[in-house]
Amino acid sequence: MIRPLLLALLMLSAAHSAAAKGGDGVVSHKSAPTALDPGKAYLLFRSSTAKSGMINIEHVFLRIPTEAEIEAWKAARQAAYDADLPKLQKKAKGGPVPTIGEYSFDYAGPGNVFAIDAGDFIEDGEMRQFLVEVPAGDYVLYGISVGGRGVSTCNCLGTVRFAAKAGEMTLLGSLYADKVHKESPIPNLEDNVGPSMFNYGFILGQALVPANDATPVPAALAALPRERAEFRAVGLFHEPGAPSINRLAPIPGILGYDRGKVIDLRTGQPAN
Amino acid sequence: MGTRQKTRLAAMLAGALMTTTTATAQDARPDPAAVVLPDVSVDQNPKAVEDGFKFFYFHNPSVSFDEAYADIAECRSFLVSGAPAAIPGFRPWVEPVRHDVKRQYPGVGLLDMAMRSAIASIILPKLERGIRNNKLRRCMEPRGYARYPAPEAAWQTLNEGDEATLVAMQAKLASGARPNAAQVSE
Repeated sequence: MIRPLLLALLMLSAAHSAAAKGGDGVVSHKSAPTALDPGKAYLLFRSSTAKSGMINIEHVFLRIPTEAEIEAWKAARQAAYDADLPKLQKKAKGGPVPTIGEYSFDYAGPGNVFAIDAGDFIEDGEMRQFLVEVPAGDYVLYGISVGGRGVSTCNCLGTVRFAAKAGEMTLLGSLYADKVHKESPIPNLEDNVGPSMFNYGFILGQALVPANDATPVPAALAALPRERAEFRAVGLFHEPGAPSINRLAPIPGILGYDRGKVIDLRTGQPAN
Repeated sequence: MGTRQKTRLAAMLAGALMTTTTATAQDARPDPAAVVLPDVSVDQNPKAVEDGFKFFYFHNPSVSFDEAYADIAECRSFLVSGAPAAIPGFRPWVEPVRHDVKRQYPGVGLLDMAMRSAIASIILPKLERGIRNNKLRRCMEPRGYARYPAPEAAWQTLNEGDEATLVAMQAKLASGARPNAAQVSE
């Protein structure tokens, strides 16, 4: 009896009614463009279509922010902290006042973390094809979302990054995601990760099969410039708001694990 | 290691310190002989065995105290809590971000609010424990650690209080003699 209620709580807690899906400069194309915008990058990938109940399980990407974006965020945080400091001091009632590192604020600047709406595909099928217009930059397979409004599971224990260049489609390959507390029908996942992991929350997993010569490209996109993504392993990171943590499934020749360490299989060295 | 990587490593450590005095792998290790442990025996405690999936500690027969300390400190750094991370949004990537939990009771009466609070007081601690347990398991089990049941009172001693003390106690158990109890299997 308690499980559905807890799941509903989790779903609600991950919801963010005011936010629109996508993100700044992120557009999922539902039909093939006649030409690519030379100022934009494009991600082309196939995806599994698993759901949690009625709710789509979606892939979350992070674009690594530029130094200027980080500085803008820091300045906004400092300004908000300075403005709130009298209130924080009053609330502390003589006790310790939160430091700026402990301070939470709503940032109104451009976003760099977004989920791809599972309904915004360019070609339907058992594996849907997605063409997503994004700002050029370096991207991280950041995690998985149920519903696309919050990070449900982060790939905090290991993942990959890749560059997306302007004026071309970056072929990622095939992405898979599902709940993985038990065996999943979705292939390539590290599933069945442990009994009783579904009692008070769930855990999702993600896998990537990089593009190769056999990876299908929608016919309508075949004439557009494209390049296969080059993936690099990424080490541990924190996402305090994610209710669960996991790692991207190992990828032969790219991403491996040795106990808790993330291994860059291109070099055999621990990933940073 | 490049500047960006160093900055992100620093962010990892700062993140771990964000809401708690989490012990880090860089801390000076305590002398395990001086670490006092609660009684985790469940020989005469079938309830503790039954509840092992809720109240447990980790053990790995092939790690030293120092290795266990580093593993537990690193994995516990993921317990830093926060509100759900709404997306789309901004993550500085090289800086930890705190998301405060904001309780909201939209346009409801006092009775409804009281009922919500009563239900929340029952469910939320279990929910939080389950989420924390899942995070620890996903981080620790690939490193070769198995779970063993502990009485609830001992579990509380091992999980509530000064972070460095908790890590030291758990590391001593994790690297100590193999427990007599059967592994938690559910």
